[in-house]
Amino acid sequence: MNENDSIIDKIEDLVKESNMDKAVEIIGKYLNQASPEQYIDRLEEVIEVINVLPGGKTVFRFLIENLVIDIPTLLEHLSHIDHISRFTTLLLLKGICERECNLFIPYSEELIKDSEDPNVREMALQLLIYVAGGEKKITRESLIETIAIKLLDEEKFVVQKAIQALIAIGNRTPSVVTRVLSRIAKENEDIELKINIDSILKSIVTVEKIEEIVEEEEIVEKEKELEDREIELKEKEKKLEDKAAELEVKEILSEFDVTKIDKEKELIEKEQDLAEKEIEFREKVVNLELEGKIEKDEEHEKLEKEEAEILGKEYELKKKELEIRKKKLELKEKEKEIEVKEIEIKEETLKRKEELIEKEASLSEAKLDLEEKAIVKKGLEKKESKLIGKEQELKKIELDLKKKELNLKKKKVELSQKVKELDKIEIKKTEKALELKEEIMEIESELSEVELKLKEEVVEEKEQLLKEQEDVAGPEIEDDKGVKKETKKIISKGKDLKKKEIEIKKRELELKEKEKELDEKAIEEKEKALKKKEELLEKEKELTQVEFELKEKEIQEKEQKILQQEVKRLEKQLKKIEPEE
Amino acid sequence: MPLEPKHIINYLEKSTNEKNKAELLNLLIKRIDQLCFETCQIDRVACTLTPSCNRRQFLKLRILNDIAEIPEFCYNVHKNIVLRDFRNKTVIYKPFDAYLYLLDFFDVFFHGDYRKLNRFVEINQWDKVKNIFEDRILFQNEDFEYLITENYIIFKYGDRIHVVFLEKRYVLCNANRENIASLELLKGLCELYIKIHFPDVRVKLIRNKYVEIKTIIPKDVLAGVKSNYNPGEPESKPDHYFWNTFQEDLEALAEFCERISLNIDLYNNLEIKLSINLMTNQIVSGKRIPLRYRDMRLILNFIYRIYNDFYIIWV
Repeated sequence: MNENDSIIDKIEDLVKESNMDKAVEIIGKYLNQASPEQYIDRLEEVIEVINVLPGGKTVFRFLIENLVIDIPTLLEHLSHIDHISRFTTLLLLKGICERECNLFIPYSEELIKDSEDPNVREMALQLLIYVAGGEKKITRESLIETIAIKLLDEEKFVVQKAIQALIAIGNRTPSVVTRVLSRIAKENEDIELKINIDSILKSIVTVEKIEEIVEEEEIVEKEKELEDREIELKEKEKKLEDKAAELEVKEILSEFDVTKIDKEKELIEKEQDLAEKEIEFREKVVNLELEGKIEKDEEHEKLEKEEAEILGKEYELKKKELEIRKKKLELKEKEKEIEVKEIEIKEETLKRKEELIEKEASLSEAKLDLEEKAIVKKGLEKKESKLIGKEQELKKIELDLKKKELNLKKKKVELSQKVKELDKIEIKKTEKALELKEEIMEIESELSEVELKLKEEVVEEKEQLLKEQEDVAGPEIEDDKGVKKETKKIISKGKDLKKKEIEIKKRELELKEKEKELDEKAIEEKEKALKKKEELLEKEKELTQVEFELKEKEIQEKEQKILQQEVKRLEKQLKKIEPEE
Repeated sequence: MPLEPKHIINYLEKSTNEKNKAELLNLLIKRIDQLCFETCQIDRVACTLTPSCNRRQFLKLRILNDIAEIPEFCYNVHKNIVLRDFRNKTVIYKPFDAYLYLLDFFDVFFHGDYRKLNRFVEINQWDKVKNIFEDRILFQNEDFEYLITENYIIFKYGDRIHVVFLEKRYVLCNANRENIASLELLKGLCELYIKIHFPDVRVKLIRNKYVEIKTIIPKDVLAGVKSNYNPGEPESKPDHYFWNTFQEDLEALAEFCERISLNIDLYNNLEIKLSINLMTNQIVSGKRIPLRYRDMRLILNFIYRIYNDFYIIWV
């Protein structure tokens, strides 16, 4: 007997004695000390021993967990061993795959995609088939896509394994597999691939699952559409924000326009000068009146009245402006409140979901315990048929619940659609308002320019008039008739100017009124949108509550089922104990 | 009542319309082909661990009928199972009555010389074939016995029997439940066992009808036996003693042997003659069952017991 045989015997003895840790340690040393040429032989020897022994599965699990053997290298080495050893070893890994899929899934995508050895690809797919038959569902789209691509593999046996893997995965997650497969079928024109996909889909899609798949697909499509819309809306919002910012900048710039300010200053100074000169002129006129030379004018009174009216209107407009600002602030506050509410609701839902998940996990653990117990006691087989009936009922209930869930999801999607539509409308309105603002700004700027020009003209004319008056009054009134005529002319010109001023002010007021009306409308619409949002939020709240209630019911039913099973088991145990006594 | 296999068998036996028979059989052929080449073999894991047919019987069907088109992967696994069993490795099932092509048989059991052996057998150079076998037995410590007849080579590895059908160029490995194909093979088997275990036993082929195995218990051994049996019984003779001692064995043997005779010859020796042909005396559904390798093993075990208990020990 050589040294290797004695080591193998030792391993065998240790496994028989259930001293797994020591056995794993010795196997690790035995494999690590081997040269690359010896490695496969030694691995085969170890596998031969482990395969036969009852504790073989445990040893394998320990070897993988302690990284004595890692999955990629194990598969690579197995590909060089004969089919029987290879596949019996894979069969040994079945239980581990079903229970501890995390040991395999991280490697599988890479092995299936990148391995040049078809045996390795086949083995990786076989392990995935075992995983799919276990506790966890495979939902990762990238992994399913990698498997689906293997439907075009050169080796027929790899294609076959890929088909089997997709069917195994698809039996539990039909919607994901159908989606990925239909996408790949669209992208490729290979007839065999299409035939394979057809056969897979036929075996996945049962009458019971059709509705589920269709509804899930619809939801997914709608969600996608909504996502696209959201992106569009966000882009539009961004654009609008940019425009608003530009306008603000323009406003600020226009406020800080140095030339304008300077001009305005000059005009104010000139106006002040003119006012002083006017006072002087009026004093002179008063003197003349006193002399009985100037008569009172009725038109002058009218103009004063109109001026007073304009001032009143301006005051009203300012009041309205303040009100609008107040309302705007209130709206912003409301918006913030709604946002806070939304966050609170989301937090609540998340908490509840976490609780539900915890409950479900505890239930599944309890279920697993029960299942293990059930396996140990084969005597339960007689009443299994009844349980199966009940299970079917429960499955029906589960299906109903799923349908309800789907309906809820649908409603949610509809609600979110409505919200998005409202957002759209809002954005359109804000767009319109901004456009109007822009127009108003432009008109205002034009008006201010016109105003300035007019003011300049008025000032120039006034200056001329004053000069003329000075010229006339300077050397003393020589001819009374000439003076009267000229003074009349000056007064009429002053009146015209005032009229023009009043007209400009009127126009300005009209524009401001229009602006305010638009602002009011925008606020009203915003208020409406907010109200609708609030209503939608309330509805969402109600829906989530209903959803939670449904899930709670589901959990309660599951709990009841488990309790019933336990009661039955205990009853049977009692029955068994009684005759023995 | 649903359709059962017996209905189809009856139909095939009784129907005179060949077209109808062909239709039915074509359906069967189509299904078998589909099973072998599409359903089973394409999934290599399933084909290795859980083949679609019981112990690859459809593969056997093809080999026995010399059909060139065989499911290759299935055949490779099959050959590998024979190899692993030969090397005492774990197998999914014990490969009893497994058929292999001659070249593959030599590859499994005489790996280094398999091409040479195949060539020498093809051209009937039996001396060279024997040289290779002897070389392996004497110098490579391989533990096997062999016997070459006109149409067969019989190998005995421990308790396993492999039969080479030279004309058909296939080999029955680990013969067990298969029928013994001919009297020549039956005689060969007896001769091989006798050569190894009880060289004083004689084997004869009588009128091409049966094989006779004759054992003689000498008179001095019988004298010893006589002192053991009850002399008070007047009718107690040595042959009666044997009938009584081996009653159960002889009754069991009677099912497989055409005739069993125990006689005292001219020299007062007890002569035990077993006449065996290819049919047993066991009857199932009105027909005698053919003799199988496992039945032959039973017969030879009996001879082995008699030989060791009453011949070697007593002598």
